[in-house]
Amino acid sequence: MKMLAFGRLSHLALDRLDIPPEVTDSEALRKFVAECWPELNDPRVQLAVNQTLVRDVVPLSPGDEIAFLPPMSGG
Amino acid sequence: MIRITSEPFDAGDELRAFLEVAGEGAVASFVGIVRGDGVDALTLDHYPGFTEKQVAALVDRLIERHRLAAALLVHRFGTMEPGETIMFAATAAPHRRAALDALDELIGQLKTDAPFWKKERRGEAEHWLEPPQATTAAPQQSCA
Repeated sequence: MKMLAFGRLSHLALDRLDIPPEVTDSEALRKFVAECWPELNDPRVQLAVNQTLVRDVVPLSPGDEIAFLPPMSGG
Repeated sequence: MIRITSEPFDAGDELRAFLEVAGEGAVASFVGIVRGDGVDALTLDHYPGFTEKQVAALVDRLIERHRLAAALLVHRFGTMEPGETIMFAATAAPHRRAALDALDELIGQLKTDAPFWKKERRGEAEHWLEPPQATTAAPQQSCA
């Protein structure tokens, strides 16, 4: 699983986390990463799975690209 | 058509090229330039692939709604200094009202919906800009 973060979250070393096998959906992933970085549990931080925004809980696969998107400041 | 680029560009060149494909009627254009106001540098973060997809969808919706003949958006990311061109937008339509309305909507929607994250540098201090209702981030733990 590839994890990315942007803006004020871009300094987080998400790629250095080992995701345990029991983390199989987006909600479990959010809870897992929030143990290290509580700011990722902010409801204003959106999640994109394979470059598509997801609002509901979705299943995750090992090859997925997950991105944590803080509120956007626009162009 | 859209282009998200880290390279500086010349808005005049972009407009000239757009006029070649715009057809007859009206062309409206907008150039965004980085403001000073005590800011030494502005950095735009983007999500490669995702940002392009979201911005292209926004432009496509406006082309359809206003029946534009053509639309172009060029937007920078990376670090810029005051005075640098950050954005060029142009719309073309058979009549001026459609071109102007579409351009106004495009700029407005980019301000709120485009997946960019801005960081200002003032002297040695840097901070990320977020919409005003943003909550304060919790203190960071060092897990990794």
